[in-house]
Amino acid sequence: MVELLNIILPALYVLVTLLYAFHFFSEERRSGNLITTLLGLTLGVHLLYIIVRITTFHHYPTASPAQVFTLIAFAIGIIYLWIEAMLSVKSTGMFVIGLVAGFQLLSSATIARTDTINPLLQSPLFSLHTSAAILGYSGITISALYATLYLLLFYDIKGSKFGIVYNQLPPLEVLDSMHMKAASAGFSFLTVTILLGILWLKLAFHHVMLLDWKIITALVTWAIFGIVIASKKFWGWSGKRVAYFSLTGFFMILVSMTVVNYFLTSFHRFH
Amino acid sequence: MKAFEIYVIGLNHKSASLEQRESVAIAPQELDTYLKMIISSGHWSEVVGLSTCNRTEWYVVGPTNPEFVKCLRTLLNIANSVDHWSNPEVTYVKKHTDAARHLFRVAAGLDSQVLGEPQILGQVKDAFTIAMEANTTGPILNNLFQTAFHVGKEVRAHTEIGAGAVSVSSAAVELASKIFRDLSKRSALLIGAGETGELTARHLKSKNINTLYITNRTPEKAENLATELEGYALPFDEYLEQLAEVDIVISATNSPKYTVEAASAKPLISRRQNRPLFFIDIAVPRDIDPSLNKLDNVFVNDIEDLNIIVHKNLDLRREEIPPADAIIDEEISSFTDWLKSLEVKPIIASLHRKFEQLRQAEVEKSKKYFSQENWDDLEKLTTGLMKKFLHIPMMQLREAAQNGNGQLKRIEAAYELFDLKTDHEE
Repeated sequence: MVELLNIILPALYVLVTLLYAFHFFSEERRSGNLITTLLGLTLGVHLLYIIVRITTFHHYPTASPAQVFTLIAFAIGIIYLWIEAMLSVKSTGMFVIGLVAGFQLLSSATIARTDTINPLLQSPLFSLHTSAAILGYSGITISALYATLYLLLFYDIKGSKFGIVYNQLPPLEVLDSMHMKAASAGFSFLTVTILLGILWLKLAFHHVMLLDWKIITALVTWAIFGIVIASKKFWGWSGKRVAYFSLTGFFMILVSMTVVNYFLTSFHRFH
Repeated sequence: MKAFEIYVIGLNHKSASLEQRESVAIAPQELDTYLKMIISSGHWSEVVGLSTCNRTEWYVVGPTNPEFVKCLRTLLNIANSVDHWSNPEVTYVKKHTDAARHLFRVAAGLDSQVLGEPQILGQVKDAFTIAMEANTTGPILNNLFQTAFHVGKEVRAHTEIGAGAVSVSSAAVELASKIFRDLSKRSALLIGAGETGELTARHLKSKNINTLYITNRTPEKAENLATELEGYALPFDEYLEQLAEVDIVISATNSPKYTVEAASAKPLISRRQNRPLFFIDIAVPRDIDPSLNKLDNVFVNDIEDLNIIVHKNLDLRREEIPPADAIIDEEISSFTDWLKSLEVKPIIASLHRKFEQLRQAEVEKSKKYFSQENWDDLEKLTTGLMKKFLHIPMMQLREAAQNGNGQLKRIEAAYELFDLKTDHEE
């Protein structure tokens, strides 16, 4: 069952992404509700996959980056569905669900067929730490997406290009607002993640190992998003500059999840 | 044999010149006289007149008789003191479903000069209301126009025929709406209260712009427009200060030099703390220094940009014609079914009346053979028999009307077989 869902799930996300792309490029509006329904069903299948994984392997799927990727994909999907319902804007679906499909493909391709968990990771505090991290990463990912869309529309208006991006995207102010909301949520969860991580480290290892690549990238990302929020609130930075900062923060997350996880030594590799 | 026919006779922006359209245009308060004149000709039982700046059309219901249409042309020529109504190159006549389709396309904005423009549906509604009040409508035009209103709404709800700005002034507001989420929380400055500037200001006002400042070389013009649009007039030498405050600047002057120079604007813009500022330059030669567009959070768009938006939106609207026509096809089909059912109604009524008379006569004759307490049973028995005898012929007639196959022959046969008379003959 887990194996089957592991194949079906990325296929479904790719299908939904293609449908959102069709919706975006064809400017065809009537299929919108159908695509949202299909996304809802796909997220239902994803939830089933997570439940089946938990019941099969008897732990929350946070033991490896591949397991975390599927949780991030699910969290982004759910947050996007909520944003779409709030804004009644489906034109950003292609970008967000495309990213979800990417995370799920990466997860499905690299996830282990058999699974054991380090006893250290069975602590409830660790589960809270990873849950907060997943929500934080998802918020930051979504903020980066809205920052990208903001920049696309910004340069289109500046350059008098009134093509598909201009026609389909919501106003700059809405994109900026969604970018900041997602960034604030991401920053808050990242703060909780770091605090819980430090607390868990203290309890599990009796000392805090701050000189770790994973912690360094997390702290740099946290600092960048702190600047993003403060700059907008107190320093009156332009939307463009803030968007570039968010993208830098997202790049740090990508580094943390790829380069650090796969190529650098980090105590975060528990398996 | 068809009891009635729907006709539309009219001229519009495609068939007639502006002068020709002007010569037959009817003011709303005069429509009533024309409607009554057409009814009093004795040829038509129902009439609605639609007269806008782009079309004058008469929707009439009456017997299928081309001579009556000729008479209507003559009548309209006399009433308007023109001869266009007899000119087939200037006017068009459509009948039955073609007339219905024409009205549906008009109501949906597909026949408008600016494709998909929304005012026409209101104008069709007004025309129908005037005819209703003049008592010149009946069941057929009532249904036709109600269906047209429904079609107008459906097409707008299910297609993008009305989407996007299709004038320079509305394109300017559309562009502003791509930057700001809610114009009701924004303020704007209009430099130059000329025609295009005024139109743009009106569009902004219709989008509930929060505060509108107006400045003009001739202060009276600014003051008059400010009063009308509930804005504020500013002296022409003080408008630059507003660059630190307002969110949108529309410039539409005839000035040969920039009204907003980069050197003088930059210090004021720096006081905005990066709040977006949108310049709409509708002037030729341009009023706003284009180098301001290089500043973060300052957007400068000129008339060429607005024209690009207008043309793109018109292309998008044209792509919506086939889906709009598909909606109209569906409604035409339902309306045609209704018309067919209407055509067979007189014979069904006549058939029923004939049999009822026969039944009553026979019942009266037979009463003497029955005791009085059985008369009710006699009534029930004969009524039941009559309904059973008539059930199949009536069903066949209704089916013939729906399918249209051999309808005329069946109806004629029914008239002959049962020696029926129409309502009119009776």
